[in-house]
Amino acid sequence: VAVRNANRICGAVALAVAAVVGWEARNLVILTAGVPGPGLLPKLAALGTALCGLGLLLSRPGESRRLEWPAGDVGRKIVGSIAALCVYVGLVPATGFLLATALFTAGLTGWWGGYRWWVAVLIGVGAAVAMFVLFDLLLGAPLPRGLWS
Amino acid sequence: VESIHHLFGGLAVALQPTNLLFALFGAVLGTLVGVLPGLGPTATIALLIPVTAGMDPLPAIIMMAGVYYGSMYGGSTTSILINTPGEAATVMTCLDGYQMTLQGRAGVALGISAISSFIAGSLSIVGLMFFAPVVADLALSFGPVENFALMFLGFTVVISLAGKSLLKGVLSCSLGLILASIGLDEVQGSPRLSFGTAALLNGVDFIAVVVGMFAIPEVLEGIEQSATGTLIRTTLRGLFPTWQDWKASCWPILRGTALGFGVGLVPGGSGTVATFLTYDLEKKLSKHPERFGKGAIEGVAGPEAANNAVTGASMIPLLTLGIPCGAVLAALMGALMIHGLRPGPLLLGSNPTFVWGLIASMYIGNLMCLLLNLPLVGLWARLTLIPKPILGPAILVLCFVGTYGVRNNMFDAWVMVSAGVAAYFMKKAEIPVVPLVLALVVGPNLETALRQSLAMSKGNPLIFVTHPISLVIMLLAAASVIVSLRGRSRV
Repeated sequence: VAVRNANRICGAVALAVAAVVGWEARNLVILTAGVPGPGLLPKLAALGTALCGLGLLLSRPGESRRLEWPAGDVGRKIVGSIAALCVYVGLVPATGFLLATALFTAGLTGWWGGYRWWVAVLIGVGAAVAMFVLFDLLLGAPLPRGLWS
Repeated sequence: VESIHHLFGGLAVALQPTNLLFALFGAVLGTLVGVLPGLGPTATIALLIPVTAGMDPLPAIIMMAGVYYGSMYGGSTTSILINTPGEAATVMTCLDGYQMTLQGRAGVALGISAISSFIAGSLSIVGLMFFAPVVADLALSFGPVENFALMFLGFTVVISLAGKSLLKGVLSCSLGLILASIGLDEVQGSPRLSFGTAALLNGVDFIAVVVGMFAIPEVLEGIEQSATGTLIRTTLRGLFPTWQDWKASCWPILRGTALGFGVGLVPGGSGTVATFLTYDLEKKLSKHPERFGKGAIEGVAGPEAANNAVTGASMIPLLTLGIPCGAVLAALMGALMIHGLRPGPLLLGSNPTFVWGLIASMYIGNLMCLLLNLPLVGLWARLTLIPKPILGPAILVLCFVGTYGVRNNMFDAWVMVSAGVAAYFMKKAEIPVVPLVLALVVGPNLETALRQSLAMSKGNPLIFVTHPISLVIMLLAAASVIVSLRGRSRV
């Protein structure tokens, strides 16, 4: 699917980011008695963002490139995968790494690959256990235990 | 002579069993991530940082450097065999490498690719050995004004080379500087852009941003390109090129090495740029330019030499000036700083064992890559057939594990997810992510140099053009912008 005016959308988003950053940094000092303060970099960066945003927003329609967004099943898979990733990260502290990872991996593998449900579950459980053993038990990088703590 | 003396000292360090083991591990891991889609060297190095945090710095950085050059070897394997570049720097290898595979000469293409990578990699390390002390000595005389100018030059070159639009490059860089500003101000300790939340007071963790931005879009794009590459059944025998092949490849390898080394020295120069330039040069110099794109061995040898020459050369600005030339180097710089090493002119003097041990290990690692790649090429090729529906979710989980492991907090995991999703949209909108990552990593140093310089001049920004060295660097920065403006769109 072609999204028209992609550059203008980017410009508007950049301007919004610059406005939020500019507002949050409003009390930070840029320069006091010739000595630069903590506001110098954030305000310069916000100004840069705003100017680029303005440039993109005011770009002529002919120059405004179209953004190709994947349509149909592929588009649904991408949005669904992002949503699944968010649910996964939200779930980990509650259920612990093992259960959340098994569910996430099994779900995505089954959905993307069209495997039978028990194959997907097997892959999910295998991946979760393998990573837990490798990182938590062998490499000593503690992973959230959630329910099992 | 002094450099050779130091190198022998470095070799003694690099040949210690632990360091050898980590060089081997890095080379294997690098080849693996070069071969497999979804997890490039940048995200891998970032993911290794928390895992290696408790280790000695030398074996940890040796392993990460191994990942860097190993990925260049691995990336070319998939370019040649399935016409899919594992790394951006091996895109040009597809053009003639895959044609050679179609013509039943996959073995020779893989052979010349590995050999030219080895020759160029080794020669560039020789260059690194001799140039690093010279540049470090020169940089010792630099003050904050010159340091700011150098970092500014790095930004302008990266912005000029990344993506099609200058405006989008500057936007990406500005966003990176905003992210770098978040947290407590280093000088006065006042909170900046924390939006009243305690989590943002510690700043945005660059590992979370790098991992998210480089791994998640790759996985999502993998869904778009649902078809897995088909491995063409071909003989991998005859990996060693014939005399004719050697004759055709010899000069392209040397020219690719020289060009790649030169590009790698420039802050902002990348392997991708070096391979494009080398391919173009070889095509122009060839008596039969029409053979390019149809299986010309020069089209594999030159670019493969160039991208490996960049790896050694780009270590010079990183180790001696503290300026990373690209995203991989930015991740490596982050790793150095987390291990308490500050890249810059003082590093060579204060930590000679570390620097020379690293350089020596790169020699050994390059040899390991050569030995790993030629006999095991069948195995690497088969790895590309792992189905994406299995690989993708596993990579996403790996991103979570690596990011969470840095500070054991869920906030970083959310930063990783947000950065990944943002990077996917940025790629769609043709906004390059490399300037953002570079700004995030170099931002704190850039700000320190800027504030020190302006404090010296009582707030007068003209200080950057009144110091002669700084003026020259600023003029170079302006030139890089002007050159990039010609023949490219503004938006």
